[in-house]
Amino acid sequence: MTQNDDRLLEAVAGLRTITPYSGWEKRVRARCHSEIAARAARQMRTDKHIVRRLSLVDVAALVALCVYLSALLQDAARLGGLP
Amino acid sequence: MVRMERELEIALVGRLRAGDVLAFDAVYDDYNPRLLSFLLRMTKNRAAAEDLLEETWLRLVSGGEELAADTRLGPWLFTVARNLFLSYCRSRAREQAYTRDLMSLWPGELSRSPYDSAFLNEFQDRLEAALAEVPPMYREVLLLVGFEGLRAADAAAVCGITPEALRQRLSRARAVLSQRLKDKELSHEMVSKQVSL
Repeated sequence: MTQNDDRLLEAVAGLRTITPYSGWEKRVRARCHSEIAARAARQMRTDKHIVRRLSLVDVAALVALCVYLSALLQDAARLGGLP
Repeated sequence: MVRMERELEIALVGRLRAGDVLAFDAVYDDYNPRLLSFLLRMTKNRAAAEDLLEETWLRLVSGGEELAADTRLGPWLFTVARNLFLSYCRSRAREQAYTRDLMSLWPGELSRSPYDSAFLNEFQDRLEAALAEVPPMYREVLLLVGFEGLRAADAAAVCGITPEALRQRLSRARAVLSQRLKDKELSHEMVSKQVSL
């Protein structure tokens, strides 16, 4: 890289940074905030749904286990000759 | 990047993934003017640059939870902004905008002496005009490396090319900008002479 090239890149580095208009800046920030809030709400709904679905599965499994155990006990009683 | 800064960035990414509004604000405040400067110089159209920038931010917040834990925010944001710019070029074909649009955009002035101010304005205006005439593939590397100060590897990742290809492109970009600047100076001198006659 030549000295001129260096100076050229320095000149590019010294270009003005353009600031957004305040109204636009606030509007976009607010839109992003509401998107983040919506995302969090969606996530919460999904989590609750998963919990609800899990608890339903748990209850179903418990009922199935109870039925199985009672059948097991009945068979055991029959084989043991109990009335 | 210093280790401490990198650790802070990783923490910031973690908070972004968790949907932390304050983390978003920190990133927004830091990158908003930088991304606008980049997009405005690429599109040469303020309304288009603002639209693309808004979309960039929405991509960040809507896909925030999918960010990798070690994401480097600067390159990530500039990659999204650049891809949106490419889509914009493809769909609208507005690449040939007027340099003059860019010249009327500066909202504030720093305090300088009238001479410094006139000299700097004149030079910077010529530089802006010359830069606006550089083809986009060269302009973007000049902006990413020269103006943004991205490392060659990061700028190459943003542009989707190898670091070696980026070095070659940067070298060519400097040559093109230098030539455009010389043309501008020449035409400026000719106008000055005509005025003084």
